[in-house]
Amino acid sequence: MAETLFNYLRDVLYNASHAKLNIENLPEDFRPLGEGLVYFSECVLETRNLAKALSKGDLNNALPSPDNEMAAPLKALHSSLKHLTWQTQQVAKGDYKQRVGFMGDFAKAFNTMIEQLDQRQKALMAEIESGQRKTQALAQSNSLFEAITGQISQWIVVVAKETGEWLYINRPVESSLITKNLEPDLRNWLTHYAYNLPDNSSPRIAELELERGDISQFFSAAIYALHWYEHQAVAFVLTDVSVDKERIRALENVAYKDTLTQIFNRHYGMQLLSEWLAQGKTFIICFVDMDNLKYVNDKYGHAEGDKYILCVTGVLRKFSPDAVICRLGGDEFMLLAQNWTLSNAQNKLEALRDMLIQYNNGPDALYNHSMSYGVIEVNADNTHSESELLSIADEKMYEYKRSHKMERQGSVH
Amino acid sequence: MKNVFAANKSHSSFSWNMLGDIKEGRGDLGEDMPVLVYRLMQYTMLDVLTKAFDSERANEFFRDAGFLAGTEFAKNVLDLNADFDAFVANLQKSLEQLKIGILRMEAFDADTGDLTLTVGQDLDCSGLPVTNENVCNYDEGFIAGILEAYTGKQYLVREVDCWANGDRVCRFQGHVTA
Repeated sequence: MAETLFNYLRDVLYNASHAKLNIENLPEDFRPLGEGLVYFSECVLETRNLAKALSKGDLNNALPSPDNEMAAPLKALHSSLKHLTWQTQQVAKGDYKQRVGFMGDFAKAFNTMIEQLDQRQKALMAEIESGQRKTQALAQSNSLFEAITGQISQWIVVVAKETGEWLYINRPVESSLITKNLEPDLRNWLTHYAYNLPDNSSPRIAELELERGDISQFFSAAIYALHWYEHQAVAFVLTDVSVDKERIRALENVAYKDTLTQIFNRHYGMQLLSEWLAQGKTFIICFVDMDNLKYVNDKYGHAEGDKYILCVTGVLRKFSPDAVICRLGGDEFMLLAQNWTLSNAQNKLEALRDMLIQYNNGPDALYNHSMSYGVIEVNADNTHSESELLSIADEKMYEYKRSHKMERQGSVH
Repeated sequence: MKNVFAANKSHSSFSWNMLGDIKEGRGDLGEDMPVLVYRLMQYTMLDVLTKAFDSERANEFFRDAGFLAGTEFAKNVLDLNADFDAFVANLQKSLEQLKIGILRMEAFDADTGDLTLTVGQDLDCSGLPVTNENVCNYDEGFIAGILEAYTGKQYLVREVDCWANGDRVCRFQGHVTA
């Protein structure tokens, strides 16, 4: 009997599926013990099954009956895990007030994690709110920016420094580029300027001239280096100064041009002479005097005299496209030219004089066309003032005039 | 002369304000009392009702009383306008402060409203030996009353398990019935 009960207990512990005890076969006195052992084995089995389920994380397995006190600690653990699952679900929903009040070190770690999540969420929310405020402020600023840039007549172009891509243009640019076909030249200029502008450059001002056919358009460009999203960029604010430029040209004409001949006047000529002297340049000065102008004026009137002056001017223009030709006043002209030798200049002037004299052979020639000239060379070591140099050239001209007086005395009229 | 002011008042018809001013009424002894006294009343009442009717009817009386208590408790102590999570947190806190028990949620189905919870160190049964008997009928009604007051839905709450691991814990399941 003792062996039967011993074997049954061993099977309950080590071979549960074979554990069987037939109470009916037990002697009468042993039956309560047998019934107790069977109940004990049921408690062990229930407890073991619960332990197995918990070890696998299965919290939905059938639980031991309330009578099974042996399983109570495991049921308490099961309940704690169920509650912990619910708490974790709550945390996942954003309920960071959940705290675990059991399970020792795990509870400490879990609660710390939730506190950190809470802090991070609060920091993140603060960051989001701050970001939202900034976005709102930026949106407001942007709408103001759009309104302002849309209203002003200046062109605003933001160019990516590396690629030359146009990152922003305002409305006046759009409409102007479409109607005036200026985009290729403008794009080239902006790309080149942006690429060569040093990083973090301070604001600059530059001038830009765009040509379309015979028409030039002038711009004053204010240039700013800036960051545009991820790009190093350059903003150009272009102001159309064509009208101003034209006005300045007109004023320059009044100030520097001779009204009749439209070549430079004495004021401009003397100013340029002074500059070249200050710069130590090597150049030639030609002093040219028209012959017979007083005679023409007196005899044929000033209108004819003006025609004569224009004729001489036209001849002098042929000296060189690079020479600066000035009318000093009355019948006197001055030519300033670099990269000419004295003899070459004299030869050229002599040829021009011959060209002028050719007018005398025409059927309508009323008077002698002629001119006299004096040429001097100015070097870098020159010590004369501009008026002194002009006097020297003038003197040479008189020498020339005297030496050719006889030729004129034997000419027409 | 008849007291016209007291004409409509009766202790046999419950209302929250009829609980009286306990603090003032028990100036020296205070608002607390041993659980023993609470249990003495509870289980003698159960004994009397069981003998007068039967065990099942006695349990029903206790369940109904618990439901009335839960409803009034929810209306007078809890914030019924809070969202569910805040409501549960508030309920846990209130039950602990009033030493009724330690409530832990185990599951809540937001779609059906069904839930499972446990109450540890319960006022009614902690310390009682665990048997297959269901002794927490008052709690069943109490929890159902609270849930109905908050959700507006009828709940059937039953104790489905209990165990003692030092302190006794009872598990309840609540199902929405209407």
